[in-house]
Amino acid sequence: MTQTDPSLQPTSIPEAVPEAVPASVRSVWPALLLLLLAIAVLVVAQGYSEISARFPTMVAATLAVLASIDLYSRTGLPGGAALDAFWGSGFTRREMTHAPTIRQEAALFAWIATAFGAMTLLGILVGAPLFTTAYVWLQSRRALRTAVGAGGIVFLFEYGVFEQALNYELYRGIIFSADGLAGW
Amino acid sequence: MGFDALLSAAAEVASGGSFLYLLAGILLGLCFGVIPGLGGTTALALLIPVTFGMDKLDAMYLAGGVMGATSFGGSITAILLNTPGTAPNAATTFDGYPLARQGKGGLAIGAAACASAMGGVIGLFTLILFIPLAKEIVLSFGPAEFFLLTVLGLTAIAVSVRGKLLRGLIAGCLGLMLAFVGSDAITGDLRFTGGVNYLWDGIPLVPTLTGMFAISQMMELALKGGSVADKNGEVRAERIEISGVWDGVLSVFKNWTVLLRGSFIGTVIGAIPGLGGTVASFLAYSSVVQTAKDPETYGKGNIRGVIAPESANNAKDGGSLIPTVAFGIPGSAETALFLGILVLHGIDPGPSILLYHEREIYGLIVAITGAAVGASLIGLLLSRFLVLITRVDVGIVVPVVVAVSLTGVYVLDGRMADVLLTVVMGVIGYLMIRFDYPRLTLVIALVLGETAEKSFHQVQLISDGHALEFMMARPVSMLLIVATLLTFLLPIGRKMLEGARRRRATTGGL
Amino acid sequence: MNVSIKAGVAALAIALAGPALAEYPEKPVTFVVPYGAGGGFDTIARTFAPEVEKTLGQTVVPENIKGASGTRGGQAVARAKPDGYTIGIYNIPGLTVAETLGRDIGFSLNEVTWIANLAESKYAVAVKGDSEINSLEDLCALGHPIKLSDTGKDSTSSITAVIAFDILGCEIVNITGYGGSNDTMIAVMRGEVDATLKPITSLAKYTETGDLKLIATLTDETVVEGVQTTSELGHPELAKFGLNRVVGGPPNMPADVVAKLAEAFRNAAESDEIKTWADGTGTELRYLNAEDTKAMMGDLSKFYLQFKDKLQ
Repeated sequence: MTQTDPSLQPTSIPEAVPEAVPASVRSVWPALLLLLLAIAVLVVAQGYSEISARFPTMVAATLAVLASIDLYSRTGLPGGAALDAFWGSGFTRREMTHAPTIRQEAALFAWIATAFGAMTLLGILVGAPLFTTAYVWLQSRRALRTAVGAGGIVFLFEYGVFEQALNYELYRGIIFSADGLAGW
Repeated sequence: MGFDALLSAAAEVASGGSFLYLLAGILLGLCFGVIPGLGGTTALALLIPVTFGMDKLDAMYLAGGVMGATSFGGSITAILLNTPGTAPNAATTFDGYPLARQGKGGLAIGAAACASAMGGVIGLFTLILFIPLAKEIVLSFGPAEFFLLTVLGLTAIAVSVRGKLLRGLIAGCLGLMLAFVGSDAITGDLRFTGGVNYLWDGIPLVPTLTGMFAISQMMELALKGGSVADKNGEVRAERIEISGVWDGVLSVFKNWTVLLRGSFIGTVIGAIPGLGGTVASFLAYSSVVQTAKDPETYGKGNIRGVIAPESANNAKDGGSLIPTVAFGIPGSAETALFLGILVLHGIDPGPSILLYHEREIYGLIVAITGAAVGASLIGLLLSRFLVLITRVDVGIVVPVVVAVSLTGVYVLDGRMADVLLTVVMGVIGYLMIRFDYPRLTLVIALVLGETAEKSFHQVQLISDGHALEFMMARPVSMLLIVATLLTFLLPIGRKMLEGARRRRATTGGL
Repeated sequence: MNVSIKAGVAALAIALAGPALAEYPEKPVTFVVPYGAGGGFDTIARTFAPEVEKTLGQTVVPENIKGASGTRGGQAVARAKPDGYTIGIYNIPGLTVAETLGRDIGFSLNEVTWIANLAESKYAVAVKGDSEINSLEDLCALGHPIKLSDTGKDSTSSITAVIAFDILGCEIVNITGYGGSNDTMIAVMRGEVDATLKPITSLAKYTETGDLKLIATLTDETVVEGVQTTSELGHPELAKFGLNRVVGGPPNMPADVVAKLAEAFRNAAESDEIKTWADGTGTELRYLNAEDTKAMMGDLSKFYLQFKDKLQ
């Protein structure tokens, strides 16, 4: 099935013109990493007892084969089109059609890490609303009022539902709890 | 006799204070369902201490309200944000989200609400009908059947990722690998834990799902910017969407075969401990796609792709009570917690539970069904506002969902390590979206992996090494083998037929 | 919320009054349950908590810290201050066996301050209700290794089965991996295994309805009319096996605090509320005071140590 099939157009999502598939998506690296992972699992599994090793070995071997096919189809060597027809190894039905820059992605990873860090250090009741406020204000660049409002909603929800209605103590944070990391 | 008890239980709920508990349960269930990371299991676990001081029946109504309402609540987020609110709603994202992006969120929500309510009712009647046979049903599902069911589930994965078979299978392998982490169910040996105690019990499902679906989806959305229905929805008047809700409700009755099939699959899978709603709704979805005349329209906003998983989703609650009425054993994580509530109230669930505790069980059944219907009604009333979520700008939705779903993951077991796992899974999930590896196949494989492995070894031991003969001799096993073969062969057969027709058409044209 | 307000008030009171005047207990006691809400350990903890409160005069708050096969909760207790405000319930001999086998459970059972033993379940062997097997002798004479069903290889019942049938001199295949103890019993009803060894109280539900039949109890005295005990069969050591629910606290708790807690648990165990609950759910209460519990723990360690080779 290709996206040019005209019979599909009326029912399909009226999408913007499909952007070119980014080079990083088509590159051999994802497949190569998976192949290495499969080999690593295969090796580690051999250290287990026969019964424990049986399924991991089977699955890792299968993954190794599939990753190799994936790898081959990415090289552009002959037979790629046939592989695509049978395995659907091409990229005509991508889930994500926009292509952010590495900087945008790195910034987002950092924000998610910040969310976790704030919740771990300051506790959930403080960290989660603080993250929300900071994100809306600094990353989304909305008015500070909007940002505080969003953080306030998160705080009210968490305090109201968990601490009040269900009497559940949310994590208080490494800084504020006596046993620090041990409380995990 | 079952129906008499049902009626008196219904009368009891309708009269007086019990109704308030049911309503409280519904509201809590809806709220926990909508929020990714929080689900019915978390809600019930949190409610256990609260129900301690309550009357037995009131506790049942509260628990039933939660159980019946969460799955519809979860479909709202699945449709509007492509983020399943609870795991079983994952399959709803396939067609629900494309509908929302086309500005038809109201249609999808209407269909989901109606399918949930109807699925719940059908599941209940199936349960009542099958109560006399409950014991036989439970006894006919042994390790052989469990194993074959997981094979069926894994086959359905391969077939359902249309157009992405290779990377769908790769993601499935990754999911199976994750399922092997932790202490092996058969030998007890620790595998792939890397010396981390946290991994002894395996990779927990809720953090994985929340990371894979909620966090990663929010990352994708944040990088896209705008709002969900941005690309083409902004011109549509709100009036159209609200009328869409009723079209959605009607569409369920128009597609009553899909509804019945989804409910049937939901009830059956629900009755099998350990598989649960995620597998039920996924199988309902894939079975409808496979037998559809127009399989290529699925995944792009076909309303039947919403009806099938959502009806399965609520019908599974009726099914999950079959092992409970038969032997007093739980059929799902939720029923396990519900039985825990009974024990706290001094009732020992066992095979005679229905004999001695009819009121509690029927009370629960009525509450679950009432909640499924009630939650849908509330959902329909609110749909006008809910659809607005798709218009709220992403810059605000993203941090709120991230913050609240991370909190939800913590609340389930009170472990910050779960939150860390959620973040890690979120990043992996995002990379999977970016590099185009389907996430749902990973999750389904993770759910099925442990059952597949341990039931395989159990069959080996039980049958003294003659697994195949053993399975062939069991009727339910044979049925499952046939179903698996059909799942595999139907699409191939159709493809060949289509090819032949096309060839004939082209030669005829020339 | 009430709890945290109370805790805050209590903390304030201590701060104002100074440590000299403070007499245990001054604030709520946290009761750590190493498994999830709704399970067997959770239930007994939550049922005892309000009764214990009556003697202590302070709230007892059960807290579920599950994970890592029940060791994470034990670790949390071991790290807490030994002031009596954090106690826990322990799965014995599950942890004893794990420690005996050299697994890292994250704390030492030897160092735990034992407070009381609350309940103990004894084991029995059951077969399908309509089976022709009527005794352990019949079971051993099947002509093939006996197939047994169990949850995990490290579960207490699985360990008991392996050791017990070895002592009896019967060969077994222990098929593990069943989801819960109920599933193992249903496996017997389905006929895929010959028998299962489980706590008598768990089996009782199914023997009542005739789905299962007991053929022997691992006890000294007759528990169920007409069912042989292993002691009658000449194996008194098998009566040592059991499943205990034991309360303990962090290492080096002061003796007066331990005494107070033990008394509170004894009063609870003897209360009508707990007795009624135990009757309804088939729980076998067996209260032991702090000293007896400690002695029992020592005995159990030695007992399981002799089977170390069989369990590896």
